[in-house]
Amino acid sequence: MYSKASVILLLLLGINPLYASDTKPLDNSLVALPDTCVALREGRKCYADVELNWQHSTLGNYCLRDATSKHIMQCWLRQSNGKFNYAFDSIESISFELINSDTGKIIASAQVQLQWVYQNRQKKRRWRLF
Amino acid sequence: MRLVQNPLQKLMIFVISVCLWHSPSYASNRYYADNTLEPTAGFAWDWSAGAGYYIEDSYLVGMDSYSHGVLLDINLALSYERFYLDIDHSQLSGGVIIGYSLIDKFDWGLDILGTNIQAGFNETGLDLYAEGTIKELDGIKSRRYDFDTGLRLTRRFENSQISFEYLHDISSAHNGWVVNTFFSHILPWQNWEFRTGLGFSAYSADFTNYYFGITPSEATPTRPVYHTGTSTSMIFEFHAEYPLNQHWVFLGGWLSTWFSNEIVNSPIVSQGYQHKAMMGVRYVF
Repeated sequence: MYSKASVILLLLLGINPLYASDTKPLDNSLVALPDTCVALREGRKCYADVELNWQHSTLGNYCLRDATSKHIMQCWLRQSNGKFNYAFDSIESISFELINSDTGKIIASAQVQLQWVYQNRQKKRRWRLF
Repeated sequence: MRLVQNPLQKLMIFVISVCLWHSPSYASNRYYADNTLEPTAGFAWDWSAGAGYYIEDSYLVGMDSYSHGVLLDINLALSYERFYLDIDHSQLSGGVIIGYSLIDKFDWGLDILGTNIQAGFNETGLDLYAEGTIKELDGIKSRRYDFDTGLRLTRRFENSQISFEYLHDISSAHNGWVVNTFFSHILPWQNWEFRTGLGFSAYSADFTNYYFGITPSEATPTRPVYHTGTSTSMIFEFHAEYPLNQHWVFLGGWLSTWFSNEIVNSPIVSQGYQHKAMMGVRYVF
């Protein structure tokens, strides 16, 4: 994902990259990677390729949905784990839920948090390049 | 109110400290604004510090055509209601603008502002950490940073804006006027922000002669007396910024300036253009 030079630069600066290290899903879990998206300015959309991994201790019918809109993103039949690639494109944090499609019960949830660098959104900003 | 005063007092101490930190460089101040964003109400501020690497092809005689080095920067952007203050020390130079919005209606703005337009230089040239005298500049008087005040009229579009300024020096450096026209555009793409700008400036004869004229006391056999009239310049810049995480950003930029013959013909100017590129990182507190 990163070039060799940028990885060295990040290591030198002690920076945690946007894309966090791999974390294996726990039992009955839903994990979003990365779990944070950083936009440059408050109020601007943030973009990230998020991988949603889930697993459950038993085979079953499960669906992944947006926790707020309840929009179903994908369903799996007779599975105990799955993966979904989500193109995060939002001006706010988004939560996801893994539900049992037979009972509607929420099995696990995960959130991609939105952060930003600059908070001062002033119109009369004068930048100095050099 | 008390909650606002305490941070403000601390900020003023910080601002005064930064203003006193001063060293020579050539710089450009330009406007940009993403007018699709809703401005922060009340008091808001960001400050940051960073470091980068630059390469420069300077216009002053005797300076290395391709000088390069590390530059440090300290920046503060502060706004409160109609008041705003920006300090940008991308080269630890005196990049300060203070402004007040008089009118802000129907995509038009009229501001009263004070800012530095031209960086000073002396026998050591424009380089940030230069110490030794440059042979071709030996004997010239020091040209001071100016501080100009005036009015700015701005027409805003979504991610673009065009500005017209009339400014006059109040620092007694050159006692002349400067007229600036600048068009800027911000292009967000994914989490990147690209900024481009194109500007045209006119400088009074007082300004031009103060920085680029040669007085009889500065003249040498190879540096004749030089006196000229009003001058102009054109500027293009491109800037890219990307958030590495919530506090660190990557910065990269290019700045090109072209000067009119009144400046180019000066005995202390070696060429009619200056190019500069930089890249680095910045920590936003």
